[in-house]
This record gives sequence, C-alpha cells and structure tokens, in this order.
Amino acid sequence: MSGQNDVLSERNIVAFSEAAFEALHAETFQAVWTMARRLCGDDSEAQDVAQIAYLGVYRYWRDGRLREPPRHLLFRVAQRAAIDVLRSRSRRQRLFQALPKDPDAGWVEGELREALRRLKPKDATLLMLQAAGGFSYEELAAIQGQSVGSIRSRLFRARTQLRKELYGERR
Amino acid sequence: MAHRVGSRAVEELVIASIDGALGEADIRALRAHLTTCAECSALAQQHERLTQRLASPVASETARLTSLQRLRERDKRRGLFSVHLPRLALGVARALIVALVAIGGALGIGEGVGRSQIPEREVVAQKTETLGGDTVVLTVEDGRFAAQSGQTSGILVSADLQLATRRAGSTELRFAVQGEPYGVLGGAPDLTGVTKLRLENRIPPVDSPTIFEIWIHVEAPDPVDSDHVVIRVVPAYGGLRARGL
Repeated sequence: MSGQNDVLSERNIVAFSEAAFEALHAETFQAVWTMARRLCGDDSEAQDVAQIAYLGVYRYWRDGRLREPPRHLLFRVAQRAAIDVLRSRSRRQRLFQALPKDPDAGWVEGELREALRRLKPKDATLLMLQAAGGFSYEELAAIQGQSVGSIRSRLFRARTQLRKELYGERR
Repeated sequence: MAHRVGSRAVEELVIASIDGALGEADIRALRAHLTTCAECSALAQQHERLTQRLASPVASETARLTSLQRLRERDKRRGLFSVHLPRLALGVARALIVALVAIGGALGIGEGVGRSQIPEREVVAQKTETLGGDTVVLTVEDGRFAAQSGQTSGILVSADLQLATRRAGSTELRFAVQGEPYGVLGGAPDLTGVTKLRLENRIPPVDSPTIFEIWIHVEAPDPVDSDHVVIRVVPAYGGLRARGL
C-alpha cells in the first residue's frame, strides 16, 4: 500500500474534495485500524483513535493548511492519539474486566497485544506505524520529524524488546 | 554476548534486512553466518514471525463502515461531507442563535433553547456519604471538559475518599449497566498510608440510552459499598449527555 510509487504520487498534495477524503479513508482505514486496534484495549478506543485521526486530516486538508501528504498527517495524528490511549490506560488503571471480552481477540493476538503494551507507548506506536502502514525509515522520519538514524535506533530497540517479551532472552 | 558479523550485531543486521535497509554485501555476510549459527538462525526466524504478526491486518470492514458513519453524522452538525457556508453566513447564524438564547432566557423560555448548548462543565449528580468513619463524595459531571478531542462531550465520574484512620485496604470505583456485571472505572489496590484519595474516569461510550449505577467499593479491611448513584446516559450531539435519576 505504501510503496515508492505512493510517496512519489503524494509529493503533490491533491486538492481537497469530499471524494478525495473518502478515497483516503478507503485506502488507509485498514492500516489505521490494524495499528489502533492492536494497541488499544477495545473497539471503542480504537474507533476514537481513528476518528481523531481522520477528523484532524479532514480539517487541515479542507482548510488548506496541509503541508505534507495527507497520509503522513493521518498516521502521525493516529499515533499520537494511540499514545494518549496507552498512557491514559496505564495512568488510570482503567479496568473493564467485567465487560464482555472481544470475541475476535484470540490468545495469540492477546499475547501480542499484551507484549506491545509493555513497551514504551512511543515505541509501541512507532512499531505499529511501520508494520501496519508499511512505511520505510525515510517516510517514518518525515512523519515523525526525526532523523532516519533516530528512527532506525528506536525501531531496533522496540523490535528487540518485543522479541524478548514474546520469545524470551537469547540463550 | 551478542553474535556479530563484522562490527555489527547480528540482531541489528537481521532487523535491517527485514526492513530492506541492508546492502548486498551485508546480506551475503549475514546469510553466510546464519547458515552456520543455529542460535542466530532461530533469532532471525523469530524476528520474521514477529514482523508478520505485527503486519497481519485486523479485520476492519465493520469498523470502517462505523468510522464512515460517525464522520458523516458529524456532517449533519458541523458540515463534514457537505457544502460549507461562507464564514460570514456562519457568523450571522451564530449571532442569531446567541440572540435567540438571550431573548428566550429573558422571557423564561430559555431552558429548551439552552439544552442544545453542551456546557463546559455541569454537575449531573453528587452524593456525599459516611461509610463507617470515612467520607465518600461521588460526583458525576457532564461537559466538553471530559471529552477527548474529536468528541463533543463526555461524562466524568469521580470519587473523593477521605479515610478517618490510616489502615491497609483497597478501593474501587465501580459501575454497572442495569442487569449486567459491574466494571471498574478506577481503583487503588493498596490504601496503606493514604488518608485522601481521588479516583476518576470517563463513562464508556453508549450507542443508545443507558442507565448506569455507580458506586465506591472499599475494603479497609471489611468490604462496604457506598450508595449507588444512578444516571441516564444518552448519545447526543456526537458525544454523551447524562442526567441524574
């Protein structure tokens, strides 16, 4: 979804229209949802993350304030919203154990989700941004406003920690 | 100690390789090492499996339709997916609404008009109670202040607990939809050394009018529940509104 061709085509920002926005929504929702749902505790939180991201892009794009490809802004806002959810979750000990559990969340998915939550929120969201969005180091650097080297080292740290969480230390 | 190929750790090379950020020479050197080192080969397989698991899509069609519907619902109120009025016309419309509210208030008919305005903060229900020697103040507030960005309003439940004596124990701020098991909005698993405590959280979103019961459960050391505060929550104006019952 996010290959080199996408980057090239997005260098010229398409003029805003409802149709263009809906096309962006259709094209990106799978990735935004995968990122949000894997990080958030339930569908409702993930929907809030998606809503915040799409409304943010909509307003910037409609008002002519967009200075980057809409997809970049979209994923950055989604990442920030997801970080807020993760921080809020740990801070407030939000425990909805008695509510019905998500029937789609199997053991394997639950294990991955729990491991992601043990990472720093910024690292976990960056990891999902890369995995779900399919972004290269260069694209991630542009989205985050950081150097490629910084992105590379953050991803390395996150990936090694997540591997340890799931598979244990190396022998 | 981490295995190395040249000056770089194998794990670093494996990750760079998966990300497509490794040069041909490094790829060849890494492959040569992996064919002779079972431990690093296992490590590489773990990273490959992990990458596949992270990238595997979560079923999204229902969520996509819900998202579109939520965005379009905002349209009816805020102009999303619709023709936008010029700023001047919007300004005139806002001025008219303010004038109508003011006139309505002056004539004593403002309540109906005013309800369309979601307040910044409004106490919906509040109950103060003594549990043993302890004091509990349970408050439900409604307004934009409690909402996350992108929502119009939220409902914040808070409990202020003042313990008469220092002692061990725990407490939870609980809620329940009538007829269903309770959930926990927040809690303190250890009250040791605590005399004052505040717990707060937002009520989860609802799609239809829902009656919630909210109470504080304290075990310090004996279990005791406060009286229940009962509120009716309805989805409205893109957020939630609540009324005490």
